[in-house]
Amino acid sequence: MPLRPSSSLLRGFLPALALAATLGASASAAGDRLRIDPARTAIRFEVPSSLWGTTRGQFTRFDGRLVLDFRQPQRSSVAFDVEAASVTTGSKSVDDYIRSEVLFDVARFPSMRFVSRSVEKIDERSAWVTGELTLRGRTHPSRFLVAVERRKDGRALLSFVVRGQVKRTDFGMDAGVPVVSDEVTITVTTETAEP
Amino acid sequence: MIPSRPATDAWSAPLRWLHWLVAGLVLLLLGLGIAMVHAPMAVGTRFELYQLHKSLGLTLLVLMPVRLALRLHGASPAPHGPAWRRRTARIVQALFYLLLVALPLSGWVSASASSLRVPIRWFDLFPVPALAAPDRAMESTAARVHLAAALFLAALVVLHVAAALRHHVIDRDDTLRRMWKGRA
Repeated sequence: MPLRPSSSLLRGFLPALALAATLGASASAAGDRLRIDPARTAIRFEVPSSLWGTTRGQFTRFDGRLVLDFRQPQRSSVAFDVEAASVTTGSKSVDDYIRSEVLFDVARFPSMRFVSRSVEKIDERSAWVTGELTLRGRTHPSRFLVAVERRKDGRALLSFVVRGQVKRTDFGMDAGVPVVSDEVTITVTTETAEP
Repeated sequence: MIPSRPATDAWSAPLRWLHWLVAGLVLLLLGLGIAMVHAPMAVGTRFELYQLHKSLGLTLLVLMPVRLALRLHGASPAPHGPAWRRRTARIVQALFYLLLVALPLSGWVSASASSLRVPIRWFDLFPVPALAAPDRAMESTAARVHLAAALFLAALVVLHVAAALRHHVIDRDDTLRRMWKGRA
């Protein structure tokens, strides 16, 4: 899947950046620390299979922290802790399979973690976030494309669409490969009030 | 071939119970097997039907040695009819015993060797070990044996039911009655 920001996102972020620049003086040197609001956040994944189409699911329990620095984007950072057992596809038996020892092995590895190591601005509306993803006790570098859109629904909001692909064999999750794709697409959508 | 023991004209109650229990299981397993492979349904539902099929198949695998032991140790009524039909009946019965062990075994091997490595749990109550490590060649061989045996079994069921009805309706003997009620 091409990791290209959509044109609506391209249009939206310019004013956001302008506003952020004017507010920048009030921001702390380390940027603004924000707690991810779970009610406004979704962590979704999809994994295609040659036998039964694409399985889609999400994680319902997680904790995320975000540091935004628009003046120096490279100083921005993000960290997510996700409870592995909170995976849900809408089918209890499929969820139990994903939680079992052949995939997430939640009994031994209850949490998944992403910690960013660098933020690289692409343009005014998008950035690459590179960091370390830890699943099943294995840590592997991974990269996500972040698209930012400024919205004004009564109050100024920044919405983020984060997208990336993870090879599950990197983390020892080889069950079903190649009938079930090795590549899993992860999409995180969230929003926050403009700092 | 299973030897006949003409010392009795009735099936024991445990053998009659096992006959109908296995008959019900076989019909359920055949129906489930066709549905879970071919019917359009949600991924989760299909997953659950496969798991149910495995639990029922393992139940069959446990019941069959019990049935075989009872059959070989107790007295069994002889089939009715001319010699060639009595011989055919014994061959069909022996094939049933063979297939009803080969089917669950090949299914278990196929599920075990699948790359999906779905944990097998008997009615979600306790884990059942895999018989093999993931192996595509083994999975596909076991699956082919499983399908061929299932088709053979289905044909045998048709033959068996037709023969039982013939005994009951045309020959008017107690073949069906003694399996249903015990002593005719």
